[in-house]
Amino acid sequence: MISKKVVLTGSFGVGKTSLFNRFISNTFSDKYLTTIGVKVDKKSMTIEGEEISLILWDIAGEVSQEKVPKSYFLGTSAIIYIFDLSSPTTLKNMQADLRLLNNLLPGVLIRKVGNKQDLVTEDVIQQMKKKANPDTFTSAKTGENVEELFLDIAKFLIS
Amino acid sequence: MKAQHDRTNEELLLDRIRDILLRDDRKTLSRVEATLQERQRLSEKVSPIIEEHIHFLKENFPREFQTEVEKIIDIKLKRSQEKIIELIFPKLGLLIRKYISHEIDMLRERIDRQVRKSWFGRLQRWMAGVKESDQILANLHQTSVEEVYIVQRDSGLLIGNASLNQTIDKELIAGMLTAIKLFMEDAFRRGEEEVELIHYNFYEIFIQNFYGFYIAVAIRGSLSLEERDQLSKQLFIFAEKELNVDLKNLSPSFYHQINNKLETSFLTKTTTQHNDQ
Repeated sequence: MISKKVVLTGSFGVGKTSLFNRFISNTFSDKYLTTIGVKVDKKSMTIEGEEISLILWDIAGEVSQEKVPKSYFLGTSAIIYIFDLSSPTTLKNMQADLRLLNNLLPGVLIRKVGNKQDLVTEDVIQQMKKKANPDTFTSAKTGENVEELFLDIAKFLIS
Repeated sequence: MKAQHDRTNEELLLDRIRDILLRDDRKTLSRVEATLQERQRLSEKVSPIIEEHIHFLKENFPREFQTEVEKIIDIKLKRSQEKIIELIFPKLGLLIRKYISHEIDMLRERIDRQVRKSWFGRLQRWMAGVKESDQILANLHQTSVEEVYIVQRDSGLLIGNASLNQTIDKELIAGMLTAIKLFMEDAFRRGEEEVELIHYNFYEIFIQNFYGFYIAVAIRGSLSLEERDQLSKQLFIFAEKELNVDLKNLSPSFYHQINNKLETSFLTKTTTQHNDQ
């Protein structure tokens, strides 16, 4: 069995832990509880007959990735950079953050995810497509595209 | 007019003689020129010579250039002396500080043991109203290694483990342990110092850090400094013998083997200490 570390990161309040919980335990809570430090959990998947363990690191949100301890990212195979579709300020540092992550982990898979799709209209989604060009839009609340996001990452990591 | 005609004839004659005399040389020259100008032909001629020289250098480099290289290194070292000291000093200082503090603690532990054994110690306990039987019980403590984890230092991915009991997912423990370790190291900002011991209730997690990985040993009971020192030595020997491999490209059979080796090396031993005997 293959094990891979996947880090969920982004500004605070974008729904990292909600995505994490939706994927791990298929649950959602409206209560906002800030993550302190880092939370780790694991989910095993079988892809084309091969088993893969995703060890997920849900990192406490920071306005800028500069403030996140670099050691949390080391040895990671994929990064999920999450922003909140209903809060454009969470996009403010995205370009700088992605540059920093690319420099820190050259060649590592990075997926840009626009979360809280359930809170915005189709117009906003179209605007965000142009503005941020995310790889996918998700909703931790409804579960939309969450499983697909992790499945896509797992497929990439196993190939 | 005649003189001019004679000179022209003379020149023509000379040219002809020159052509006859230099014909062979000119052929050779044009062949050489063609060789020089055509890359492939030049390469055919020159490459074997260069290769021969490279081979010679490979074989004889240390002998031929040893003195020169030593001189260069010497000069470089002298010039960078301050930089090297700047780089090494904090590490060295940290190591010395750790060593001295560790040795002092060991010494204190030995003195305590000696004092407890002596008549003065007995007198002290008698004055304090401590029963001899209570003291013997206090001195008799049992420790046992319950679990061992080898974890990749950066990613927190599990390399190997052995456990006496059924616990939750081992990979999860390795990841969480790494996250806690990194969080503590980052939160308290103690420079390059790393977490080495986590204590809770009747358990201790002793962590021995290596370059690309760390070994965490969960112990029931509390180890004395001397025991911790022994365990550390044991872990170093184990790492040197069994983990001297590329840990990023491990074969599936490695996990199985290393788990068995961890079990036989660490889990079958139970330490019972009789400090006063």
